Amino acid sequence: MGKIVAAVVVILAGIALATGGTVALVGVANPDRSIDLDHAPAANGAGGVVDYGTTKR
Amino acid sequence: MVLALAVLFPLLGPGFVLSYDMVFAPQQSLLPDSLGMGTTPPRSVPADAVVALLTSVLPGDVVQKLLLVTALVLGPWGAGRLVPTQLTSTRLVAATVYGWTPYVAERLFMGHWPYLLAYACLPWVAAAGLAVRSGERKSLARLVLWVAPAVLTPTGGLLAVGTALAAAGWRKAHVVTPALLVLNLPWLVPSLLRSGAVLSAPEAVELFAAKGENWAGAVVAVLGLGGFWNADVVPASRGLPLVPVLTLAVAAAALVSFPALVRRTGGLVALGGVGLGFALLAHLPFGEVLLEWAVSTVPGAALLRDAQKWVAWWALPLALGFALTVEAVGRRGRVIPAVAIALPLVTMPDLAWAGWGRLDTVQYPADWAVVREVLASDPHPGDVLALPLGAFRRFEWNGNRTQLDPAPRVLPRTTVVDDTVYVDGIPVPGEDTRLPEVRDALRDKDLGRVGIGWVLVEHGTPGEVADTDDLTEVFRGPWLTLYRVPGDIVATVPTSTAPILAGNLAALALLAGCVLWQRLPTGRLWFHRCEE
Repeated sequence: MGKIVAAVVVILAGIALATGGTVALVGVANPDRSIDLDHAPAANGAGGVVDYGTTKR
Repeated sequence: MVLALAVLFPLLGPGFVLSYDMVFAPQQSLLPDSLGMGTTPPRSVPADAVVALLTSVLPGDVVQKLLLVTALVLGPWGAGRLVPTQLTSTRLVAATVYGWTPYVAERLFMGHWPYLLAYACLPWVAAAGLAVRSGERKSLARLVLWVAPAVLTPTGGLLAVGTALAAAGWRKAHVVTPALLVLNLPWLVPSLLRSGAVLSAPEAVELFAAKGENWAGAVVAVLGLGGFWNADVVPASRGLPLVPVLTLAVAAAALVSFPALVRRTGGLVALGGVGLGFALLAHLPFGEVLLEWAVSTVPGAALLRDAQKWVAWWALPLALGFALTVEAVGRRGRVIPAVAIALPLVTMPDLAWAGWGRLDTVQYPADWAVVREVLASDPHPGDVLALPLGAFRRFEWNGNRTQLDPAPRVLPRTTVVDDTVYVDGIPVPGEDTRLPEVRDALRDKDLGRVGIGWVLVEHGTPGEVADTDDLTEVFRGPWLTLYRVPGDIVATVPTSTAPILAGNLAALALLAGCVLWQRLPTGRLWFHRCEE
């Protein structure tokens, strides 16, 4: 049981490292085509008030 | 210490870290609002009074760095000490799992330093509570002293009291409760005496409820000590698709050790469950309706508004449980403990180095010192009104970071700001009972009738400024303009002075007594004697 849990933790950590590194590298290397500058949300404060924050993920 | 330096090292130079709710000033004055004698809710009481006293002997930026370093050092240290183990590696696992969390990152970026301080004290409070439970000498005094840094705000006080009671157990509640009640009087008395009940707008519940960080939703985010409502302060790494899988793996591993943990650490696991329940209440059936009713009807229930903060109670059983499971499965090798120690850091590297540059130190422009000097030396009476009306600012000199208006903490007089808060452009009404009449007086150009003798206009931040033709300009700089309100200024008197001062004195007397009790070579509390 202990070895199985250990193996799962090690494998998940390895996958996390690999995925995180890949995502970071790909994200840096490629232009982000999802950015729609024409319909970008207004900057905080553009409406005359400073927002405390945003709930939009 | 290593964890704290990994986060705070870039911020240790001269200057102030001004981010969202975190505002420190070169020298903060002790004002009625600092003690809860004003018209604003005592959210930062007695934190403001303590900072005012500290900045009277140390520069404000030094005080800020000391508090932040203390908050980030004590938490992991305390969690590591609390694990019932002989292995250093197990202590290190608990330390990183407790000290390197989305909770720490998000509250740091949001500027909730008193919450971080309270969070850091919880393992020490738990240790002292367990000592009270087992009847150790002078343990009650130690418990009170560890709870003290947490009671700088109502939320911190309640987090510490919950942990203390859970650790000490119900058999000692009759001794622990009165002591901690006295310690919390500095914020409790003004809350109870506040003329308008401390209520909140019901729409705030949905806005400030815990949120999901990725595909897994709010429940998994909260299980991993994340889920803060403000997406702007959530580390980008929390959006990685594998984060929920790791979160569930860590929680499951912790769960394995919960039976042993329950036997050794009393009610801390149950308290963790309560924390999860509070944090996710808005996501339960009828939870949002219940919360909306509570925050708008029951005085004090507004503390449940930013519900994710209560997940701090879950952090301790999660860290201790995970560490014990890692110890059980990795006793013969070094790889598993090493991976477990590194796991929190690897999966959330963007807390390091001040959030990869998210936070930075800045100096206040010279205008602020000039205005402070004028207001300190000029005999013209009255409080200050800060314009534009709004609680938050974005100054170019602070990298356009969102920050609370610094005026109430920089200026030596009571400063009125519009505490209406906007989230996604939606206004959440403020709770300063004085503000409606100040708004009317501003419109009528008769600020003197509500005790406003000065108007401070802050430049370079979004917001419209009302017409100031009727005011007398005293100082104009690139960032600030200070006006004097002509005519008679009605004097404002702090409310409920005597009971609030009595509450503070009682808490101070208790603290002094506990320090003495710790120092004295003899003496045992009566309940210990009874047990012997």
